[in-house]
Amino acid sequence: MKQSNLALQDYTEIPEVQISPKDGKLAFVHISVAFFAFLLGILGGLLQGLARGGMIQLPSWLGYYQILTAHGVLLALVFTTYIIFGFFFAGMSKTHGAFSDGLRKLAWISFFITTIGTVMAATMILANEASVLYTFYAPLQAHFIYYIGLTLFIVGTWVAGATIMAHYFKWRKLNPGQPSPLFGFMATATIILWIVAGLGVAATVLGQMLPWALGYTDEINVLLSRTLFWYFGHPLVYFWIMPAYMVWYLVIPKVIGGRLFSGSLARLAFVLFLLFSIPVGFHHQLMEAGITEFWKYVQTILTFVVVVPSLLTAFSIFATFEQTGREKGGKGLFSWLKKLPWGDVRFFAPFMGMLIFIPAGAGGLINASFQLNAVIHNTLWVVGHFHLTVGTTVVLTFFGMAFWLIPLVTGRKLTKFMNRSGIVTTWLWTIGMFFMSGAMHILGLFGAPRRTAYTTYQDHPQALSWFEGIFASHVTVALGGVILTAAGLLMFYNFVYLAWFAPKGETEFPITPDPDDTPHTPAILENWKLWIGIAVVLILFAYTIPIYDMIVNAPPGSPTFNNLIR
Amino acid sequence: MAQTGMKTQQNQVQKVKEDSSLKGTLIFVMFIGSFILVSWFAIFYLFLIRA
Amino acid sequence: MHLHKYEKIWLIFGIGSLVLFLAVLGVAAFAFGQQPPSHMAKVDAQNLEESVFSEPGLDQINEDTYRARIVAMAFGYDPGTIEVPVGSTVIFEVTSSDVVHSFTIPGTNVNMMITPGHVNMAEYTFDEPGEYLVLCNEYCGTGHHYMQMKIEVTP
Repeated sequence: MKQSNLALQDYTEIPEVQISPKDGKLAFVHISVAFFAFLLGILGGLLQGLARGGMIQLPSWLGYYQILTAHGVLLALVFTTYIIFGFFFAGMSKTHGAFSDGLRKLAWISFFITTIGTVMAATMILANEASVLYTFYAPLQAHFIYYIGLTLFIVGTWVAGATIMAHYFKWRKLNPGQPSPLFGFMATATIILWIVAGLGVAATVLGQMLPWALGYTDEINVLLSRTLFWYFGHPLVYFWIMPAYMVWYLVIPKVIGGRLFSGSLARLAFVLFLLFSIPVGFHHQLMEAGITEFWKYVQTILTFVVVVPSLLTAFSIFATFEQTGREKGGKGLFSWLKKLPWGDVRFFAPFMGMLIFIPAGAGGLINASFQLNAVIHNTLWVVGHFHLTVGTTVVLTFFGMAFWLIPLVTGRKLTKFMNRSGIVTTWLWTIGMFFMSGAMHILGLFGAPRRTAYTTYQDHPQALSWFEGIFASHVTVALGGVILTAAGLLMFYNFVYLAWFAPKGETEFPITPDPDDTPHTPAILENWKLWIGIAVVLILFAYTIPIYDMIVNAPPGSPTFNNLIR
Repeated sequence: MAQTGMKTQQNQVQKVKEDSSLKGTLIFVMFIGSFILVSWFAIFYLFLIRA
Repeated sequence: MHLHKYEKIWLIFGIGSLVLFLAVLGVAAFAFGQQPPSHMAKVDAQNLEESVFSEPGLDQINEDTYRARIVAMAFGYDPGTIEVPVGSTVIFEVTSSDVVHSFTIPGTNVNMMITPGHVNMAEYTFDEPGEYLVLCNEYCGTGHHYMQMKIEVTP
């Protein structure tokens, strides 16, 4: 393979055009919903941090677990999903041409379905009828409208996904025998993953929870519902991380003035994610009765396999940096790093996200490590962990993306002032997260539980020590939360400025020229039927016997418990 | 910055050898690998002393 | 697909580390019995009075081994306190009479989910005297943060 990043020979058929304004509007509406949800979500986070640190007392009409539910739903589900689809619609329009009027209409329908679902779920949370957290474990029971809202949310995203896949496969039909554009390939892999994973949560919500919440059934199989949730819950985190990886693979090389190192390896990484990120849900249930050690260990192995595409990604991304730095005249072992555009927020924010992914990934391996999970299960360590993965790696990558994507779709320009504001936002977020997540990790090792309001357990010395550490203290968590809130408010300001007040102009959609190995893309990588087939086989292998056992040997089911959440 | 970055890139891009050095990349990923090994065994040790 | 020489080195090192982790975990679990809590016994959570959990509490099995049958419920445990002499090994058998809880002794490896209908098990040897805190680390309702019990380990 040639490893030159010279932009001289240009295979690319992607014209340097702006995206169609109609598609831009579609993307912009998604991004706007994302940032309004983000604003509400971070304010919820602030209240939680302060309340749990014992610094404020929540008013009687506002419950800790109510805010916790809102924080999780708004940030983990609403913010991520909307900004991801905003990115996908814009990127597909850029790389595969404008959407047809029919498909665009379908995309708008998906937006309305998803948004109606969001509003229904949010209303129930506000009414304190759904303080069951975003994992809604049975047999705690929320109002049935909450479950209907979540169903509409998922179904809406499926329609949006179908739109994007239809656009992708249309391109393939028009260009037979050619490797498909990387953006469409990666978006399609992400969406297939999302749809296959969503079947699990749809099965438990439609087949178990809704009939039970409406009173059609008296009992629910708790273990089965948890298993179906986690069948969905782990691929959910890959649904967040894969679009962030798309920014790293496709956008960052262009921002730094280079070219992606290898397209085939990028495709391979995404195929591996599709295959191995679903049959791994048991690593969230390692501490639970009713699943044998054998099947837990099988899924632990599969979990470790899904680390491999991230290993590939670490190499590919850094190799892209090194090649570009060297082509720009950088020398020595590391001094080429100086050639990277550190002052450009479009690079700097995602880069900080990549750095944070190192401790985040190491923590993830520990979490999934079978019996080792007992050390950290359901402690604050886990909260610290996913505030690094989704809360920093993914979020900072999307922040960096927002600085070109928003002005692109609003016909404005990224100003120097905004760029500087973005760098400040990135630093504040990173520093705040260092305190908050760092303290959470250590508190978790000392046993401090997650998802728990302010408590000293009747002044037990162990629980009191969680407030007294110099760094490892709930007070440090709250301090980090305050810094993060400042960063989040600044980011919301950046969003508003870029959306409505920045000077008018043209903004580039940075997307890497095709990597040099594009003409040599192995055809098998594009064989979707094969990959979906293998993914299904792996899922059946990992889940059939344990789920059969859960159904056939189920204990008597659980009635509803909806009085405990109010 | 963005625009100037691209112009300087066009000016500065020079011919490089085909097999450009990726030594920095190797050291960087090896650092990641070592970090993972050390943190994993640290928690494994914690598990053992608590058992 | 071409792999750079350094990328091969990295993948061998990275995948080798993953295999090492899995081997260490597998040997500890399947050869030395350090398994994650995965008990398969079932009960009727709505009729615990007709099960072995009808009278929760501590039973002495032999000189320094005890069995503690405990029922987790919103928002506490039954019994709320148990007392054992230092050096005792306690086998905890825990179930829930309502929603999902956990049975967690912070600072130890005893940290297991308690799902209704299932019994979960863990074992711990108390080598230090003192008052051990047990807490629930799975959200179980508005009073979740009050849910606790104590284990008195007497010298």
